[in-house]
Amino acid sequence: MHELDLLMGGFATLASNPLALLLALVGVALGIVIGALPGLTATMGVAILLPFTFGMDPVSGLLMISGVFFGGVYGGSVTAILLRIPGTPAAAATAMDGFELTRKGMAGVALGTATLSSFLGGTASIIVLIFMAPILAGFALEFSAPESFALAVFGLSIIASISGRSVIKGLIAGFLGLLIATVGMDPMDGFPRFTGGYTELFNVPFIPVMIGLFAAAEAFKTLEDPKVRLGMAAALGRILPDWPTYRRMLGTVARSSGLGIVIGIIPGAGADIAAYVAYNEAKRFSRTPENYGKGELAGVAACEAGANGCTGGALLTMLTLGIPGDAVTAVMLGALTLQGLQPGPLLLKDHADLVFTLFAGMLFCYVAMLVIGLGSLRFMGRVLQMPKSVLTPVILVLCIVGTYAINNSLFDIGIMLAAGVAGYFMQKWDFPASPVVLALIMGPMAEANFRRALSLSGGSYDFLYTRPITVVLLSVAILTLLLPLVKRWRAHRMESRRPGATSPQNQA
Amino acid sequence: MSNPPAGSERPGSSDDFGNAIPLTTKIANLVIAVVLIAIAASAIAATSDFPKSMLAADVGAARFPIIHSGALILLCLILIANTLRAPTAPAADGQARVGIAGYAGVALGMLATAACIAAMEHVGYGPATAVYMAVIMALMGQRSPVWNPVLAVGVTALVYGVFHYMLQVPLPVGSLFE
Amino acid sequence: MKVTNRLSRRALTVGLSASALIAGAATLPGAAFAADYPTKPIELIVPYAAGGGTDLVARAFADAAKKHLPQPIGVVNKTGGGGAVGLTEIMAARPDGYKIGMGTVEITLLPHMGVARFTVDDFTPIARLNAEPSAITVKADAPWKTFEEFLDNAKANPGKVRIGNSGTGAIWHLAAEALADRTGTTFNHVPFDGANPAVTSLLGGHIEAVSVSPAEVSSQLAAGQLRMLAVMADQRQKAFPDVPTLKEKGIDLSVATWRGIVVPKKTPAAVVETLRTASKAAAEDQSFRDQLAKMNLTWAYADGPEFGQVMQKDNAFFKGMMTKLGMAK
Repeated sequence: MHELDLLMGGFATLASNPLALLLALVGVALGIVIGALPGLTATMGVAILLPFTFGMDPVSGLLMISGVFFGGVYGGSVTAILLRIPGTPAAAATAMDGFELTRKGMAGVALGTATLSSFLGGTASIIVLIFMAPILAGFALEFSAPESFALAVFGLSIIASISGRSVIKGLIAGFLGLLIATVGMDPMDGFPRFTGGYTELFNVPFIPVMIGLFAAAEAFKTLEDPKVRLGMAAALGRILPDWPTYRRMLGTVARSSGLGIVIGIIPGAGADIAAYVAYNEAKRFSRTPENYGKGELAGVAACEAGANGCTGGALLTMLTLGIPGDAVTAVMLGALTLQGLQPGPLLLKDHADLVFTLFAGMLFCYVAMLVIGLGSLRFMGRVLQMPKSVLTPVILVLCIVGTYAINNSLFDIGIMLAAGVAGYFMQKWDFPASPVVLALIMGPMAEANFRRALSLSGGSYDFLYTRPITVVLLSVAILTLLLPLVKRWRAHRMESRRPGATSPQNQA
Repeated sequence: MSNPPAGSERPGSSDDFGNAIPLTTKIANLVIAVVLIAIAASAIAATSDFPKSMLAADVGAARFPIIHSGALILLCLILIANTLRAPTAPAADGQARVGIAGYAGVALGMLATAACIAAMEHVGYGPATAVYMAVIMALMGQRSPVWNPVLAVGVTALVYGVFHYMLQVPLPVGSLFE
Repeated sequence: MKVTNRLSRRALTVGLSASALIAGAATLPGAAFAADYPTKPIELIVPYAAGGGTDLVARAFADAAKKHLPQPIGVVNKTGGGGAVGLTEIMAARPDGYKIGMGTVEITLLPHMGVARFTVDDFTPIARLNAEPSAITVKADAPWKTFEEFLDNAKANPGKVRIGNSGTGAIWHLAAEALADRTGTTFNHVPFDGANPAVTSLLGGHIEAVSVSPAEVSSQLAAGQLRMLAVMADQRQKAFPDVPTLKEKGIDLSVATWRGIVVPKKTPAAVVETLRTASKAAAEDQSFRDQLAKMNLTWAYADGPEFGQVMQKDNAFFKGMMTKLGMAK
């Protein structure tokens, strides 16, 4: 085990560099804060930190940035679970079941599960990165436009399973999201669609919409009941899930981590997609799929393990090929080159010692995240002991400031408010918000890659059935979409045989 | 708190499978469906202005919006059909009534948010946010003459500190002070 | 104006810290205001996301400028519209020198596409900091060893050779279109969401070539995965001395992206002077040059007037090019 020797060497080097360890700790803590605040993403945290790392030695600087990256992916779950504010797009998936658990007074266990699962998913992904990087690197290159299109379609098929009570309303929300996702510059021609001349609308204001639909809508809802206003938010409960409970979720965590790693390797796909896909697969394999969406602990575990599993996968592609798969790793690529390290196939050969020191440090970062996370949960949970009359205004202010921070744009806050108002009414009438967010993530990816694939093939639609990965993903997508529908349909046929019941004959 | 906020949990009820639907939900379904059909139809109409693609093998900018809009219209029609077919249930069961006062609170909160955004452009982050905080807290029942302003100013300052100094995100200064 | 000019020169000669003191003490508005510039931090608007190439140049510049200006420069990212949002903000900013911008080649592209409210004449150039030419790069195992072979193949198979670019109407797309136009070939232009995905696609063998800058393929070139056939520059690149220019191949074409400091048109001359002097000093600062070199970016300082000529020349070139392609509106 050549890698193991190198890794041990890395740990030894790291042990003699306490400053690097300290900076990694600071990075993780900062990342958790950035991830938890709405609107501030890991990308932004890494970019803000970048100038400070100019003067540091490569290991310290890069570990601090890795810490922000890992902490940022995890931190989103804290506010998603406690307050239904998804700090990051991936946390919007966590919020589906996490916030339901908070409503049930099980916020503590949800947070503990999220922390443990993030740690396990992330650590697994770093271990894969360490030992299998060269083998898996080629996989990223297999992914061309047709494969990315198929992945996006697969992602969209999940709408059927996160629709909640009414599939029709879920699909309506999903297609509305897809339509909203077409606002802005057309991905192939650069033609501005449905912008009404506003340059601010040239890119889909995705994060403002997400913050509005989830956090602001929830805050508006608390305004409606005079009795709730003075009450405390919710109980925290115990933090660590008991072992038998968590042991049952280990399978889910392992599967979700694996999915996260694979999705992380794919260029252009990141933690948000991984979280939703992991959630969907957890539900598919669950013996109690009906509990999902109503506060299922395994749902939280799946999302977090999937999202953090992405980190190692994304780093793998960036380090071995010199290609950043998403915005965070793009900034990290800049950080590496600034330190005089050229990511790419030669990095592992020329700088093996340094790279393995980094790997050792990344494992340390995840341990640090676990410790900081578990240590601070009680404290963060205090938020729930605040009276709602103070908490709700604070949430609204954070929504406003966080949205502003994305692009320094007041226009975006307006979008956030509009989404919040729409989200309030959607919630009122049972239109789920998650399909909209999912559609906003996957819609542009599906359209751009479909049209790019068509362009690559010179106008032929053969790519839909001649490429193995594409065929597999599209088949899985069709199954994902149809199976729940068939199940429901059969259930309703059974029901409608009973006398007196009306026959529901829609296909939904 | 063990009891969930109003109107959140109605396990087992399903709107589009022939179960009885309360009248208010029926009306809401129909109104929302009609509004969405109008949006989708106008989106399709707007695509007629889109230019043809420059790339030979491309389907053009209009194709996807038309597909999405078409599917949206179809789904809304299904929702309308389902809603009309379902029997009307007596007033919502288990759903706590939100009174006029409740809706007024929500509406005021939304208006205050809009006002805050408008004010931020002119007077900047600080004053706009502090006043906004105070208003929302008052709406929520925190009307103490001491705590309300102290919390409003305190939270505003804290958020400013975190964003401006720690995260280096400049917050709006306001056109009056620039 | 004479008074302000003399004042500003005096302020500079007295020394930067002293000028800051004077500025702090001065309460006179108007003329004295410009002379004492800057009395508060300057905002540098970057029309692209944090962490991207333009952002990195801006942050390195802001860092280097600390030593040469009494007030710090803070970088603010205003993204959206392929740069249109940020550039519009720079154009519309109060011309007092406290909101300056990172201008990019898109200033000369977006106006012709009908997606921008500004034109090249709405900006006063301060200093160009960086420029990157377009280059034709293929896979290392591609059958074409030289640019001539590549071109012959493209001519023999019109529309079959797929060139990846960073987006329709973006600089690398126009570079490839210009190449097709000058050589009488037809390519299949495939737009990607930025240069990186295009390079990924090339590595995977899904396209035949990319037209992105040498910096964006440098690590894959070093690893021997890709081969650069020609650069669209007047001279060979220092980092890649073996790669010929198109001019050497008898094709008179050079296309480059550039990044530099610009201010709104009506900014007072004294402020422009101060910024030009400080920008020159910052750009020539060794730390700034080192930062760019580390990022594989080409240092290409040009003073305001010279930068302005580049902007005008590119503007005319791209206008003609886009009108020909039917992209102009």
